[in-house]
Amino acid sequence: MQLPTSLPPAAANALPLLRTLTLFTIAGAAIASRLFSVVRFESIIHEFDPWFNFRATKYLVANDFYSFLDWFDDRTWYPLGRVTGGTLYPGLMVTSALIFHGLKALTLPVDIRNICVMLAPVFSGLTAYATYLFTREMKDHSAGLLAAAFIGIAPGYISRSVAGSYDNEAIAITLLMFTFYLWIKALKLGSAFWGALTALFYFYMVAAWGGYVFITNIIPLHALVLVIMGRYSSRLYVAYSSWYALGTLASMQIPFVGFLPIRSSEHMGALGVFGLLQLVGFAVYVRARVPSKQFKVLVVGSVGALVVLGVAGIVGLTVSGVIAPWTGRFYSLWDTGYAKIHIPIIASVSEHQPTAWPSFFFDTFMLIWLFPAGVYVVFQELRDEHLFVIIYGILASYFAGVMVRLMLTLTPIVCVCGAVALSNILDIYTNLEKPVEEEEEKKEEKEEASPLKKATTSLIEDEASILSLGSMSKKPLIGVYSNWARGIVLGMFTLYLYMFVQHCTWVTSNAYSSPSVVLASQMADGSQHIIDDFREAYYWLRKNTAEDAKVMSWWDYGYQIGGMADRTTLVDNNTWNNTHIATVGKAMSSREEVSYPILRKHDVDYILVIFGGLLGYSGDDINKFLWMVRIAEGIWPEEVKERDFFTARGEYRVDAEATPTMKNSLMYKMSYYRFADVFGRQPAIDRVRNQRIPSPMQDASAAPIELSSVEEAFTSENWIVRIYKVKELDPFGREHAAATAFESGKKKSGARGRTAPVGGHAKGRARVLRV
Amino acid sequence: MSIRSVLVQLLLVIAFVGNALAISATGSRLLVVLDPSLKDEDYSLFFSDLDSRGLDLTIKAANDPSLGLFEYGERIYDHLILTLPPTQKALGPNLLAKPLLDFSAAGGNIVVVLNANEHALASVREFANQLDVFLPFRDTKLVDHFSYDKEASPLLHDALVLSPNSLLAPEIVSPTADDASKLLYYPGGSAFSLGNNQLLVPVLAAPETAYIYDPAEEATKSETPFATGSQAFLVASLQTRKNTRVTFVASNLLFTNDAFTKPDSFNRAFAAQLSAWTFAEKSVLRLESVTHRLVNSSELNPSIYRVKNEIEYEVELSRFTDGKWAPFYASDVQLEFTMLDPYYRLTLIPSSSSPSAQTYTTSFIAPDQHGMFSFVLNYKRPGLSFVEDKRVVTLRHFGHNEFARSFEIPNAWPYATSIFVVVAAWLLFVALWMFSANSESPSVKKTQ
Amino acid sequence: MRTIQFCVLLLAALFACVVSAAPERDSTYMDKLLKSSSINPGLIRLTDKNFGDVISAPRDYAVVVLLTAESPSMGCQLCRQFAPDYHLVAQSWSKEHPKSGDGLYFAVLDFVDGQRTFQSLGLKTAPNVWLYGPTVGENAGPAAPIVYEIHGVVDMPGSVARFIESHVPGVGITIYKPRDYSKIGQAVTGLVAIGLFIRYLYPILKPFFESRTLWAGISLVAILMFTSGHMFNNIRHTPYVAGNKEGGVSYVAPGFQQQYGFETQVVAVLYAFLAFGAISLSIKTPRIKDSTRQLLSVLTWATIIWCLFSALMFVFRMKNPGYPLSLPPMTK
Repeated sequence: MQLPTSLPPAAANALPLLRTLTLFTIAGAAIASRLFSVVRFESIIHEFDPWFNFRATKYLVANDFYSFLDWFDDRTWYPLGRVTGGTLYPGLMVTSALIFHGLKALTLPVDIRNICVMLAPVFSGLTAYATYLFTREMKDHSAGLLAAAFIGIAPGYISRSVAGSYDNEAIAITLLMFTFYLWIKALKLGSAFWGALTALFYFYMVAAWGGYVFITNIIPLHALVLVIMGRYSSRLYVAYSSWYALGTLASMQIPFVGFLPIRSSEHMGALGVFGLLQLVGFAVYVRARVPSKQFKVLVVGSVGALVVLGVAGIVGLTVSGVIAPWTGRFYSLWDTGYAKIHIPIIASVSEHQPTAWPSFFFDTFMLIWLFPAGVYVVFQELRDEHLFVIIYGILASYFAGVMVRLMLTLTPIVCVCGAVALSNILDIYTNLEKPVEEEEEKKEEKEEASPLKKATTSLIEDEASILSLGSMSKKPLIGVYSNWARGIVLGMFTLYLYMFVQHCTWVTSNAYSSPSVVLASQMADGSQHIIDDFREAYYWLRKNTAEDAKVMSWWDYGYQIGGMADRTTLVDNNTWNNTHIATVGKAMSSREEVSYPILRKHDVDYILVIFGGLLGYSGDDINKFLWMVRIAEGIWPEEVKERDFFTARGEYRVDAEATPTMKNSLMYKMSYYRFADVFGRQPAIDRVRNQRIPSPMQDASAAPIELSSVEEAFTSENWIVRIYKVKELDPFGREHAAATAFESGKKKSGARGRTAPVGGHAKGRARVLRV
Repeated sequence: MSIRSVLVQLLLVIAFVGNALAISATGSRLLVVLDPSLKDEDYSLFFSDLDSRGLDLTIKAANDPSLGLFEYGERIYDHLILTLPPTQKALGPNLLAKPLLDFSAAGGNIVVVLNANEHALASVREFANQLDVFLPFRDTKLVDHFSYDKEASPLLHDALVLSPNSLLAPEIVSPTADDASKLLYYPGGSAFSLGNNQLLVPVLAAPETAYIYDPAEEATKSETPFATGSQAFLVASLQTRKNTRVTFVASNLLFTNDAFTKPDSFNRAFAAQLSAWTFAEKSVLRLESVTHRLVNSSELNPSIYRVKNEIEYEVELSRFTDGKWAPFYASDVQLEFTMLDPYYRLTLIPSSSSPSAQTYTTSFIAPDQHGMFSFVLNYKRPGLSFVEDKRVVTLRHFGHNEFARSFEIPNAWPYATSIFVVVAAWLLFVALWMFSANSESPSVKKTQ
Repeated sequence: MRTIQFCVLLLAALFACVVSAAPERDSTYMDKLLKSSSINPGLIRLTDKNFGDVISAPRDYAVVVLLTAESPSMGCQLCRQFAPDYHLVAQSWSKEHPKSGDGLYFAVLDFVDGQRTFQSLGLKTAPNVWLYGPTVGENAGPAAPIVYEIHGVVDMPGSVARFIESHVPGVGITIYKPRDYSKIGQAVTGLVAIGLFIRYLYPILKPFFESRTLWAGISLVAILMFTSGHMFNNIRHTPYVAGNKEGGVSYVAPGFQQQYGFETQVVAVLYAFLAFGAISLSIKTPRIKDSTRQLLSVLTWATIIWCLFSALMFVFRMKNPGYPLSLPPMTK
C-alpha cells in the first residue's frame, strides 16, 4: 500500500492492528449477512443436498470414522443400496464432526444441527481472509482488504453459503482460495514447504468437493503458460513438483477419488505438465553445465522428442481406454450440446443450465465491469502470479457462462480483480501530494502526439513485451493535480460501494435466503405466512408409517425423505443409477396396470408426489413430469413416448384437452385425484398451469379420476405434498379395477344374467372358458 | 357301579375326545343359515356329523331378523353355511355380497349351498361373480341323458350318479380305496361355471355328456346352453389370499339324509370332507418359524450380512390334521434369495422334525452383489393353505479392512519390493551426491 | 431324335420365359436394383415405375422408403436436413452387407420422380419414412407400411436405426460415422502451413506475439464475451431480436432467465466502456502531464461511467422489474 511519506511512525505501527480489526469486521459482516434465513424462519437445513450431508454428518457423529468410511446405506436406492462411504466427499462431514467433538471437549455441547447450519457462514469469514491473503500477493494490503470485503458480501458466493445451506461448496470455496494463495506463495518463494502446504489444502479440497478438478487443471495450466513464456525457474520447478507429487498421493487417499488422478483424463494435464517440468528442468540443468553447442541442440531435441512421446503416450492410453475419458459432467462443459443428448439427468438439473447475463450482474454488482479493468491493470506489471489471475479469470468466466452453478468459482476472481482495479484508482486519487509540472516534458509530449506513431511504438518497439516485467505504458506515473478530480472520482466510487452493499443486502434477503423446505408467502395485510407442507408431510411419514416402509418419489425429494422422514427411498439426488431413476419415471408415467407390477417388484409402500396446483407452487411434479418421461423413454423408447404427452398441437396440457396417455398416467391421476371436489361447483383451476381440470360437477361428461391400485393416505394442508398407499393384492384374486368398481357399487359385468339374452350371454361365457 | 354309568362315562369320554380332537384350526362357531322352505330334519345327519366333529352349530332361519355376521365390527362366527331362500327379501340385508366378502376377508369360511329348486339370488350371484363363479340366473337343471339315475328321474334325466373317482381336488376330497366302488348321488339341481380366477379349485364337474337345461329355452329352441359337459361344475372351492375358504355347492340335495342313506352312497363322506376342508379342519399349513443366520454363528436373524458370507436359512412347517399340528413333509419347498430378480432358487432340504413341525434348511454363499436382498418363501399348492414369507436383509460390501492384505497377494510382491528399492536407491543417490566432491559426478549420475 | 431334343429345349426356354415374365418379389430383384443404384451407396432411388414393384406384397424382405422432396424448388428445409442422416443409416447398413441387402433395403423416392405415387398415397407433407416389413418367411408381418415419426429427435440416424431394429426382427444396425479424411488432411496441412508461416515470418510476428497490449486485448474481449451471456446464446440459439404482441420488435427478452442476442451485445458494449473508463481513470489520466487536460479527461470519464452504469441498471430493471436500485439520469 503506497503510504504517504508524511505518515508518523506511530500511525505506521498502528496499521497492522487496523488491518486486523478491518478483517474481523469484514468476517463479522460476512457472517451476519448470511443469517437472514435463520432470523426469518429458524435454524434449519436448506433445500435438497444439504439434507443428505446433514444425515451423513449425524451418522458420522453417532459412529466412528471407520464405520462412516465403510457405511453401506440401506435406506436409499432400494433395493440396490448405496456404498455411501465410498461415494461421497467426506470433507464437509468430517469438518463439522471435528468442530462438534472439539466443542464438546471444551465442554461446549452444541447440537450438531446448529453446527451444520452455521458452518457455511463461519467459513465465509475464513474465505474473506483467504481472499485477502491472495489479493495481497497480487497487489497490496489495501487491495486485499477490498477483495475481502467484496467476497464477504458478494451474492455470487452468498448464494451457496447462507446459513443452513450445508453443502460441499460451503467450505470448498474457502479451501479453493487458500490453495491458490499457498500456490502463489510457493511459486514466489520457490519453497517446498509452501508447496507442501498447498498440497495439504489441495487434499482438503479434494476431500471436500468434486470441483477440485478446477484446481487440478488451472495450476498446471499456469505452470505451462509460464514455461511457454520462457519464465521457467527453479522456483516454479520446486513449487509445482512438491505440490503435484504430494497433492496427488494425498488425493488418492479419498476412497471416492481412488485411482482417478492417474486413470482419468481430467487429471492428465497435471501429470503431463509434471513430466514436462522434469524434462525442461533437466534440459536447463544440462544446458547450464555443458559447453558444446551441438550437445545443447541434442539435449533440447531429445527433450522435445520426449515431450512429444509423452503426449502421444497419454493420447494412446486414452484411446485404448486405460485412461478413462472425461466424465459426462466435465465433458458437457466443453461440448455444451452433449448433456442434452446423452445424459438427460444432468440436463434436467436447473443449475446445469447456461447463464443468462442478468445473473452475472445480479451476483456481482459493479464488480462485473471492474473485473476486466482489474485484469488490464494486472497486465500492467505482468508478474508470474498475475498470469494466474488472468488464466483463472478467463477460464472461470467461460465455465460460469456455461453452467449457472459455476458462478461460484467465478465470484472470487471477480472480487479479486475488482478490488485490484478499485484499489488502484483509490491509491491514485487518495494520494494527496500534488505533482509539479515541468516545462520540457510538455514539448516532448507534443511531438509524440501523432496517434499512428504512438500505436506502432506501443506495439513494435514497446519494451513491455509479454515476456518482460515492468509497466506496459512507458510514460511515468505523475499523479492527480486537481482536488476536484479527486473529489469527483472518490465520491463517485464511494457511492458505488455504498450501492454495492445495498445491492448485496437486497439480493441476499430476497433471492438467496429461503430454505425451499419452508415457503413463505405474503398475506393480504402484508404479514408473512409460512407454508410448511413439506415438513408436515415428512413428519406424517415419520410418525404414521412402518419403520421400514419404502417410499417412492421423484429423485428430487429422496434426500429430504431420507433426512426428515427417515424412510427408505427408491431414488435420491445422488443420481448415480440412470436405470433405476428411469424405472421410477416409467412407474409415474404409465397406466396403473403397468405401474402396479413395478411398484410390487420394488416393494413400494407409499408414493409421494408434489402438487402445486392448489397453491400455485410451480416447482411441482407435473412441471417436472416431462423429465420423468424423457428419462424413462431413454430406457424404454417403445413403452414410454414423450410425444404421447403432447396434444396434437404439440401443447403440454393437463385440462380437458390433455392426451389420454397423460390422463391415464399415474402421476396425473395422483396429482389431480379429488382435486375438482375442492372447488365444488366452481371451475377447478390449476393455479400453476392456469388450466381447468375437468370436474364432474361442472360437466357430466368428465369422469372423475379414479385410483384403483393405490389409495390416498395423506394430503398436506395446501396439497403441496400428497402421499398414496400402494394396495395389497386383492384377497379374492380380482383385478384392482374390478375390486374398486365393486366397492363403488358397480356390479362386475353387472349385465350378466340380468338383461342380456340367454344365448348371447352363454356364447360369451363359453368362449371365455375355452381359451 | 352299573353298566349305564360306565356307558355314560364312556360316552362322555368319547364326546370329549371327539371335541378335543377334531376342531377347526380357526375356530368352531358355525352359523347355518337355513332357507325356511328347507326342513332341517332332512339334513339331521349332516348337521349331527358337523356337531360330532366339535363345531358348535347355530341354526337360524334366513328371515331371522337377528341374523348377522358381525357385531361391533367383530366377526361373531368362524364359519358359515348359507342356503338360499327364494326371494331377496327373505334373505335380509346382512347377507348381501359385501358382508359376505368382508366376512371372508375377515377370516370366516363360507359354504354356499344353492337351492336345487330355486334360482340363485341376485346378491349371492353378485358375491359369486366377485370370485369369478357364475351362477345360473334362472331355474335351470343339469341334465344328462347318458349317465342319469334310472329310478330317481327316468324322464327328466336330471338326477345324476357320479363316481367318486371323478373328483378333481384330492387335497379337498380324497376318496379312499373302498370308496371307489361307491356312488356320489346328485339328486337334482343346476350347476355353475367358473371364470379364470387362479384361486379357484374345481372339486366336482359334471360328466362330459351333461348340459344345463333351461325350461324357458323350450320356446326359443336355443342351441347354446349356459354350460355344457365338464365346463359345468357342481362343487368348486376358492381359497383367498388370506387363507380363508369359500365353497360353492350347486345343489342342497347332495346333503340330504336320503342322499346320505342311499345304498353305498359316498355323499356322507363327501359332505364331511368338503365341510372339513372348508372349515379349515384339514389341509391347513402353518409357518412355525423362520430363522437365518451366518453359518456357525449364534446370532439369529441379523439384519445385515456381507457379500460372500455363508448364510444358513431354516423354516419350520406344520400341518393341521385331526385337530392337532403335525409335521408337514414335502420335497418341493423352495427358498428364493432375491433382489428384484432371484439370485438363488434353492430347494429346502427336510432336516430334523419335531412332533409338531418339520424343519427345512439350506445354506448358500451370498452373491457378490451388495444391496437389499430378501429371503422369499412362497409355497402355494391347490387345496393347501398358502405359505408366504419375505424377510429383507442388507448385503453390505467389503469393509476397508476386510480385503486381503497386500503381503498375502503374490501379485503384489513386485510392487511392494519396488517401493523399498526406490527408497533405498534414493538414499544411496543422496549419499553419493553429498559425499562426492568433484563437480562432474552429478551430471554423470543424472545422465545414467 | 434331334427334333425331340430341340422341342425339349424350346419348351424349357418357353417355360423359363414364362417364369421370368412373372414379376419376382424376392430379394434378388432388390439386389439388382441395389447394384443399379448409382447414387449414394446402399440406397435405391425409386421412381413411379418401380415403386409399386418394390413394395408390392408378397415380399420376403423389408424395405425402408424415404418419401421426400429434396429438390430446392420444393423448398423443403426439413427434407434436406434429414437426407444426410438417412443416407448415413443406409450407408452403415450397406457397409456391413456389401453385396446384397440381406433382407433390408433402403430406398428413396423423391417427389420429382414420384409425383403420381405421392398423389396415390395422398401425401401432403414430406419427408416421410415408411417401413414395409416382409410379408412371407419367418417374422412375416402385414403388408401395410409402418410410419416413422420425424418429431424433434436428437441423434436422428440413431433413432431411425432403433426404429428399424424394433420393427424388423433380427436386424441390428450399427451407425458408422464416416470419417471425413479431407477435413483431417486440411487440418494437418493447415497446421503445417501455420508452422512454416510462423517459422519464416517469426521476426516480423515476434512483436505481435510478445505484445502485451494484444494479449490483454484478447483476454479482455474473451472475458467480456463470456460475462455478457454469449455462451447462453451459443447453447440456446437465442434469436437476435423477437417480435412482440403488437407486431413491433422487442429487443430485451422479458424474464430473468431469458435474453436475446441484441441485448447481450448492448450489455457487452456497456461493460466494455465502463471497464475502459475505470482503466483510463486508473492508468491513463494520472499520466497526463497537463493539469487541465487531466481534469477534463477525469470529468469526461467520470460522466461516461456514471451515465453508462445508470443505463446498465436501467436495462437490468427491464429484466427484473422488482429491482430497487437506480442512478439518475435513467431512473425510470
